[in-house]
Amino acid sequence: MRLALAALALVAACGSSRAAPVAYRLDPEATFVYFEVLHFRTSTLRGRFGPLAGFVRFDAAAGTGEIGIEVATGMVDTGMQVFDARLRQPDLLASEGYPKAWFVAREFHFTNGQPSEIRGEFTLRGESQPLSLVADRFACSNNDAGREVCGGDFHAEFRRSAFGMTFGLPFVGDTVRLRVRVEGVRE
Amino acid sequence: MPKKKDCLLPLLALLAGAAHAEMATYAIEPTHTQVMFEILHNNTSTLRGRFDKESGSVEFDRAGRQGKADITVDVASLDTGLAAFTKNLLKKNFLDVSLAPTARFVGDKFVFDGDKVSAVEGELTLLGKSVPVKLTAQRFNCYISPLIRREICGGDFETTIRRSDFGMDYKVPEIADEVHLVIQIEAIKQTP
Repeated sequence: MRLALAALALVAACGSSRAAPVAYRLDPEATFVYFEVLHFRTSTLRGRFGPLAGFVRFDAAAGTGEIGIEVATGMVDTGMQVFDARLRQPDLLASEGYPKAWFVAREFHFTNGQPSEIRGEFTLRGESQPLSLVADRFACSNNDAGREVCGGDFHAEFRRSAFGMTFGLPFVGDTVRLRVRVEGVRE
Repeated sequence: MPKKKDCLLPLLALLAGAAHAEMATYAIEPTHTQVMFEILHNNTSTLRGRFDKESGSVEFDRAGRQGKADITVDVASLDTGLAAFTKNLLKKNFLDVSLAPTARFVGDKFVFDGDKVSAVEGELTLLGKSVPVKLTAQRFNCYISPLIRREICGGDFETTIRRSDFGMDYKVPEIADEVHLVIQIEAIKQTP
């Protein structure tokens, strides 16, 4: 009887730990968003936002998860200050009127126990649109301090015109490709 | 009235001459030229850094399908987005900027696919060591800039190098040896 109770308690504990989502705090030193846009159909213009803060919770067994990343658009960095200043103007990132962009998602898809696609909502210039982050790679390991770190590379695409950013079309492409680098430390 | 065949040879010679004469100099357009590196961090996510200052020129002859590129990268212009980390990468274990302030690519073999450049083969000098590399074009195009009304040619190129080939073997393989280089380049034709 005692043994059965203990076994039951063990099963319940393991079961609950498996069902409970694990929370990760995004490591700003390893969390960045890069964007790519085609210039005159010739070469790719790139820029960077980061380091970024945010959180992730996911439960691979239950197939659920949640992520929130906030981006201060004023931190845009292309390596050219003149470009950055132009990008912050009202007809592009509108960083003064809309200082923050967000990606919030509650639809996680898993392949072999790892997030393969995260579908959520991207808010930029006050405009919200569905956005899907697709995983290029994902892995978990323990850091030097023995804490679990999970992370990977994701990509996404959107049309900037859908967010009202039409300046420079069609010479500067409408399709914006995001490359998201993310690593989270288990809480 | 000369016969047709009498005209053919001089005409061919003229065309060949014209093709040769098309070797033109293109100057690097710094606002649309960037070298970025990518390295896998703990087999988990891709760490990126960018070199913001490049200079150089390209000799290019589209009709004659030849060219020569000579690009110098200011190593100290590195920017990873994390100041302390950037500073660390410029130290002796990695880029050793005080010893080797510049990196240089000289590409003297342009490979064509039709009239587009599909690869440039040459030598990359980093940390004073020269290693053969092949830059593969993901895209290549020439266009007339509506702003300056001159021809601009450029594209996206990539290659993968091993940092240990340049003597940068600190913490290989705990820190990945393979470095992916992603290169954006546009260059403006200097002669009309």
